[in-house]
Amino acid sequence: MADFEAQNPIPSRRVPANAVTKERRWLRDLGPFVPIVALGAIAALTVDGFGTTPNIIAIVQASAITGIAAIGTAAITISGKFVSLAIEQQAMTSAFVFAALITAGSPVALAILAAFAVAILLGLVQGFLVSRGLNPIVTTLAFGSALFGIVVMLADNRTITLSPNPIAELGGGTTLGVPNQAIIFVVLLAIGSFLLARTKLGRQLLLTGSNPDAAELVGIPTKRIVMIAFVVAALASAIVGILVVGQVSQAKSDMFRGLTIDVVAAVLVGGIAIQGGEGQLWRAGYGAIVLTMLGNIMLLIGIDAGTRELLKGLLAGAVLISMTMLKARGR
Amino acid sequence: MNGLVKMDTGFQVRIVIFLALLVSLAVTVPGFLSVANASSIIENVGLIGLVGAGIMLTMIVGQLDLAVASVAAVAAIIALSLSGTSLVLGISVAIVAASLYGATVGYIINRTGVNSLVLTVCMLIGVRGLALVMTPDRPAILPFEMFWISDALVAQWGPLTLLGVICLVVIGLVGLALRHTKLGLSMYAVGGNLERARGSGISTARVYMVAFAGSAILGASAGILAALRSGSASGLGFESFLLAGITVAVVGGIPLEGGRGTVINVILGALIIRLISSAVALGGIPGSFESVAVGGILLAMLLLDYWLAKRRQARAKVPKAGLQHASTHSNGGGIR
Repeated sequence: MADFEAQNPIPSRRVPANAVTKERRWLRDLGPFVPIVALGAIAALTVDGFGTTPNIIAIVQASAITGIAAIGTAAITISGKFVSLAIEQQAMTSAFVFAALITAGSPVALAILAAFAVAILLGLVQGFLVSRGLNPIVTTLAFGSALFGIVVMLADNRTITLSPNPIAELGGGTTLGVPNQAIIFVVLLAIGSFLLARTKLGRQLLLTGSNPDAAELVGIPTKRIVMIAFVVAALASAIVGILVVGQVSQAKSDMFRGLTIDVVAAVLVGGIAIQGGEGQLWRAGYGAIVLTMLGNIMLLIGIDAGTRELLKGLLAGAVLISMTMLKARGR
Repeated sequence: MNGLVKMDTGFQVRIVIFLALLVSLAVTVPGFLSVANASSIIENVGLIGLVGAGIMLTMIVGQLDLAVASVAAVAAIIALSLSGTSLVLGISVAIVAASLYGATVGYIINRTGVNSLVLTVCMLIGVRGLALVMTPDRPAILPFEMFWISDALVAQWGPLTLLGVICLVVIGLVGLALRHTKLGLSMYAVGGNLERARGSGISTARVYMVAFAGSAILGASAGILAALRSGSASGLGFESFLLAGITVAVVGGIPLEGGRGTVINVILGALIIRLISSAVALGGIPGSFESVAVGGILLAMLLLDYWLAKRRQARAKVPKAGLQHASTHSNGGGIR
């Protein structure tokens, strides 16, 4: 196999495409499920405390935050612009905007609207830059750095604590035993999946990602589509920001440390094709659940944080490489 | 293609920015024109220049390595952990490990065609995890009897320190290797036009492996030197290397499209960034302003290069991308 690949860096087109594609597509769609279902089953049987209802709810809740941000980021990935590296800074910005307005005595609805408005603006600016052809990774890296500094300066390097916290119930409470964060996650996932699969905008997003030139030719406003993808990602980060403020009653500069990495890993592990143009939104949510579940299992059996990170990176890399290779051969 | 700096508009603008910063800081910031400050700037230009030079190698071949900060952390931890036995052994093991790691990443990218940005994000996560695994309780530290090394590295000889000199010499060697070896030139060829380079018989596997191994080795060296300077290396350390390295390369004028870039660009980028940091440190400006300034100048340079590329395109009277595709499309339809 190794030699075959080395001699044919560009995949051969003589292979009858249809026969391979169908099989590969099944493999690609179901591939990610196999290890996780097996892992879940094994863990439920062998790891003490894994299969209990409270633990499963805890996994869902912990995946909700990463998952909400990940389904937003998936819009960027599907539009063909990889990922944003400014996710945690955007979530932090929204958290500060929201918390500052609540502290200043504003009604909750207004504070949420303001946080969303700021997020839309941030998404538009980044989307505008990236849609003109700037490298998305480097642009969002720079943007995130600048944004972080601006927010910390404006907040005067302080933590904002909400007392009383008007959205404690929304961010940290449960409905019928299910954490509200998880309900919001599932609702957003459903809305997002519907938009992507059943609307014109969704199909335009997919085509923009799979072939921007062709999309441009058939009259799709690809630049606007990329901007919309960045706005969606920024709004998802804003929702995360507000929910976590509700949960912890605080806005702090390091409150989302590591979120960007978790989100990128979730998008990759979920199996959204990083080349863009394909992938269902649930995959991002699925990736978030998988990673949280793995983390939870490893925590329960006493594996330290470093090893968890190491395995997270290796898993994301393995899924990425195998998807790339399957795609190259299926073509 | 011979690896010389192209004195184009983009480069001239950067020189102007550097000189303007230098003059305005010299005039307005008290203490800027001191030997101590000069040596601090030169030392740190060397250190972030080392990281930037590594990232430059991957940019020249048309890729980008985002895992340098994590690699620096692991290398520094390896070197310091083994320093109790022998520091030379520790440094050797760290550098060999980094080069093997980098060559593997380059090999995978060549074999699978996987996007290097995304693959190295995975490596960023995994290698950072490794760094945390290696320092479960406390940072790796330099044994007390070896503290003279830290002192020797930062002892001033006028505006120079040993640390700064080592970094600048290594960067210079990278520059010479790029200009005067066949491998260096093939790196530019691969980044400039992959298919043509392949057609002319260049082994892309070797070029990618060397570029990513080089990036890992230079990142690792920067990590090791920084750790020797401070005497410790923690699992969460050196995170700032990623943004610093990319900023140095892009602000210095190395295009993300690949095929161009020299160590002169890296030094210029590092000087601009360090002048900003120095202004923040001496000028009594809040520290968070530094990340605003660094992020801001990175964005500004991305925009400048974008705008200059657009202008070049317009001047060359090349039809716009959209129109070109439209015409090939209709021609193709007619022929087939």
